[in-house]
Amino acid sequence: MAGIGFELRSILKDRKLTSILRAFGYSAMLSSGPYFVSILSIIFAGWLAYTFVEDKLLVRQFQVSVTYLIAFSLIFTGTSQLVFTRYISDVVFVKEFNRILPNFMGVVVLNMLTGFAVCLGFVIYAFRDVGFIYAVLFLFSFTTLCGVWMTNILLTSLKSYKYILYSFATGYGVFILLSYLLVKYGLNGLMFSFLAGQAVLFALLAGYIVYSYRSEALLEFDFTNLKKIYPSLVLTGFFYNMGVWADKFVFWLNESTSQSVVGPLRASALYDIPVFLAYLTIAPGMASLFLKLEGEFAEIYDRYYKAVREGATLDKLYDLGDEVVDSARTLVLDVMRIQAIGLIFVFIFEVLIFRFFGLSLLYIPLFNVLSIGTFLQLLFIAILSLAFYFDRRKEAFLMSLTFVVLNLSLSQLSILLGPYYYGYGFVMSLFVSSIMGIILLRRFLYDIHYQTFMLR
Amino acid sequence: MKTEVDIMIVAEGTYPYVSGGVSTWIHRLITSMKEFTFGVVFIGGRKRDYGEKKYVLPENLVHLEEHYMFDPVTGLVPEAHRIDEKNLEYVRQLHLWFKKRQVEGVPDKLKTLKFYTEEVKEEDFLYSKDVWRFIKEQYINYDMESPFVDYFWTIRNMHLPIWRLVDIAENLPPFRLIHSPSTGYAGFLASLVRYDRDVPFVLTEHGIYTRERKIDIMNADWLVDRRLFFQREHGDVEHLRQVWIGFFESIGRFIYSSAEPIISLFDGAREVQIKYGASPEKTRIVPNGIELERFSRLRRARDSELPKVVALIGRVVPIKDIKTFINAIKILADELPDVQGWIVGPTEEDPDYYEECTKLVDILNLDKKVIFLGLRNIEDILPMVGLVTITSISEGMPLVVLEAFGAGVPVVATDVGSCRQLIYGGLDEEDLKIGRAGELTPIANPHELASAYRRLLTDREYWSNCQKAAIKRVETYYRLDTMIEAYREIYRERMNGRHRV
Repeated sequence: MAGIGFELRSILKDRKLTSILRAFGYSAMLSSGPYFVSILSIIFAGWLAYTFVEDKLLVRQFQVSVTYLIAFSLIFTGTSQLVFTRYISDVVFVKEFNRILPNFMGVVVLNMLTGFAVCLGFVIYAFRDVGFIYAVLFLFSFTTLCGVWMTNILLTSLKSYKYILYSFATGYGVFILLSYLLVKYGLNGLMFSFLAGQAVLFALLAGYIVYSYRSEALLEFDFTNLKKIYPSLVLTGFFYNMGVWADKFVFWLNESTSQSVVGPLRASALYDIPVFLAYLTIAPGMASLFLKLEGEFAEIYDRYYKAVREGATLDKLYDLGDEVVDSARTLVLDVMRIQAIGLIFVFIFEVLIFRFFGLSLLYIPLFNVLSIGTFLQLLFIAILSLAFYFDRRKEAFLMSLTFVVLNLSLSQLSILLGPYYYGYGFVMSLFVSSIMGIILLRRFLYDIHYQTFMLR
Repeated sequence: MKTEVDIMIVAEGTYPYVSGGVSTWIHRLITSMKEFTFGVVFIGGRKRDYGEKKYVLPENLVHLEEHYMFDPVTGLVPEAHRIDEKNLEYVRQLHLWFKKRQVEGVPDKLKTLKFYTEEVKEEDFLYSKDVWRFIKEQYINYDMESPFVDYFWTIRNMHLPIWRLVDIAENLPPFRLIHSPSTGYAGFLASLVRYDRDVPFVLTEHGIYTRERKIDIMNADWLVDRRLFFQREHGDVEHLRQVWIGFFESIGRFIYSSAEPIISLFDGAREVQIKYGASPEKTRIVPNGIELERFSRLRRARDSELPKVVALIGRVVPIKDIKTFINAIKILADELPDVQGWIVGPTEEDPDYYEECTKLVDILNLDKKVIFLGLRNIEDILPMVGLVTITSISEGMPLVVLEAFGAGVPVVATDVGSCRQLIYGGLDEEDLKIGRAGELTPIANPHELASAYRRLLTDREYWSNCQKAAIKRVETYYRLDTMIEAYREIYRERMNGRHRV
């Protein structure tokens, strides 16, 4: 008999499925996680090396090399980090677990090969005068780091936090041990220890994925399937990581604020130390953001979307929606509060702390400014994570674009304005982009039901 | 080749992608009227639900386009939209129209294509906050207790097709007459076009679309009643089902109001049409017909021995109630061990139901008695069977019955649709005098079916009388040429400008 009415059944089912939100929230935040681990270990290794190395320049050369390695590799892999985690969360959502391993292999191979090629060009150009061995070690370290970041981000989105922690501890343990043994071979010795440490770390992380996720296929590039991914995430990831490093690069590349350290690699003694220290101050805020996002917020968020899916009444949805909005607001405010308390303690005791570690007190004014900056970066990360939770790709894109553009231009401006203004570029860029993020997110949350039902 | 289209046929879920009664009917209509050129607008649910074309397209079918109502549209970006208060009021009216089951008082504006392409566009309806507020309002006023997500998608899915149909209507090539073989979306499209272009619109209903949808909706398990037992009154149908039923009834009325003539296949159907809002003076009956020669020669191919085979010829879907047939064969097999039941027809339309049927055959130990033959050429089957049967819970005018009659095979059918008229006669006094061409049974009653089968398969004289009546009836009333002639007449008359009342 004529008619298509009876097919409505399957259509209703289909529509409901595709209308479900797929969260991949915290990847933004977590992608900055390894960044902190690395900074900590660079500082720690440098501090360690200081105690048994005569040549202070050697330590500095090494630290700068590693900083560049980390910066370059994070920015480079930043282009695929978000796309890939989003892809994985979709795959997990439809329970195609056998897709995980081959696509992980795909993304790692893709990143490491292109990373290798790009970096090869760079080392040939940059390290002609530094030495062949150094160049080779730099190249391989970069390639390995690309693999490490991609593996790390996959494991974080699959929530294997403990294992990641152990792996990082082992990897950096190997590095510190080897650097103690090999420091007599100079910069190359230290670089080799770093490479070895990263290789161990990579092997541990990747091995865990191979072990946990079996699959028939070994290599797949499904994550590059334009029908399944969100290309805007490529740019968002790139801009965000670029933004994080923009002010540092500005200070490294300006003649007046930097010194040449290894070949063309420059560093800024007056900016680097306070900025790294400032990053250390946000540990308490990071921890609480992580706990809140993973715990309370994720639960309330799930409850709302589950209610949408499973057919709650509008009444109930409004109640749950209000809770989501409340929880998002509380999350941001609580993180800010905890970090503010931490910051107050830092400000009170900073002189004592600087003296204890034998750091020059001259760093303190810039350190204070930059601590406000990292405080705002925490806020920025919190908002960005929420944006990803709600799948607000456009908002996330705008935020990261604003961040990178302002951080570049305002940091440059601060140099032109003189030492009193150093660090304010970083602070202002985060201030503006965070406020923008808050406004955009608020606009979304205000209409959360409308957005969920009508605009998906 | 002439490419101008004389007659545009709107085929909803049928020709040329789905084989079946209506599709065959369309195909015959086109192939038998070489003097006209035809166009076909196929309307499906989703592209992936249809396979290859099931018919060789005739020469005079000069235009074929296909549209899918429920495939997601590409190119629409979910972005916030606004519509003004005046247009929102029209959306309200539209909704009211779909819900209220009557055409009176529907603003004329809603019947124009322009309204949907210029004033309230599809994206306005989909994405605007005003519509969102409207849906919420409706929900709060009428259906606070049902799952909101179901309510939301119901409202959306109900209204969205109109924009799709408008889009189709806008882009149709010129033609002189539009003919829809059903109400529903196809008829709705034809109505829109009829108002927009002022072309005649002929409606033929093989079944009663509105009633069939009602059956679908009442049986739909995707509309879950989540109320607790003590929260609902006995016999109380939840709001969402009512909304759907109301929708199909409303568009049915709109279609009846714009079509002329409103053709049905038998008198029972005509009465239902009138009940659903068709004005009696516009209704007409044009019965189906068959190519007699194709089937009459099959009589000679018959064995003198009466084969103990009952054939159910039709798709394996719930509406055909195949399970009752299987049960009837089980009952019959206890008395006539050599009886066989053949099920001749495609099994892939509803794989779950097919599986249930094969399981039932297994459980009843009938695997040598009930055989699924799949899609076969009916001319090969008819000479080999003793009886043709229909066990459906709803039918229009099944061609199979006519074809069986033509081939000299009596029919046992449930008392649905036109079966009474076909088997017992009833077109006029003469028809009644011809006598019985088989038997009628109540629906879902395997015992009655089994005893009817037994009587016909064992009483050779009775069988022969039925055969005679069958042949006489089909030759007198149900010839294809008679049907074609009637439609030729209708087309000519309408196209000559006499369609305005």
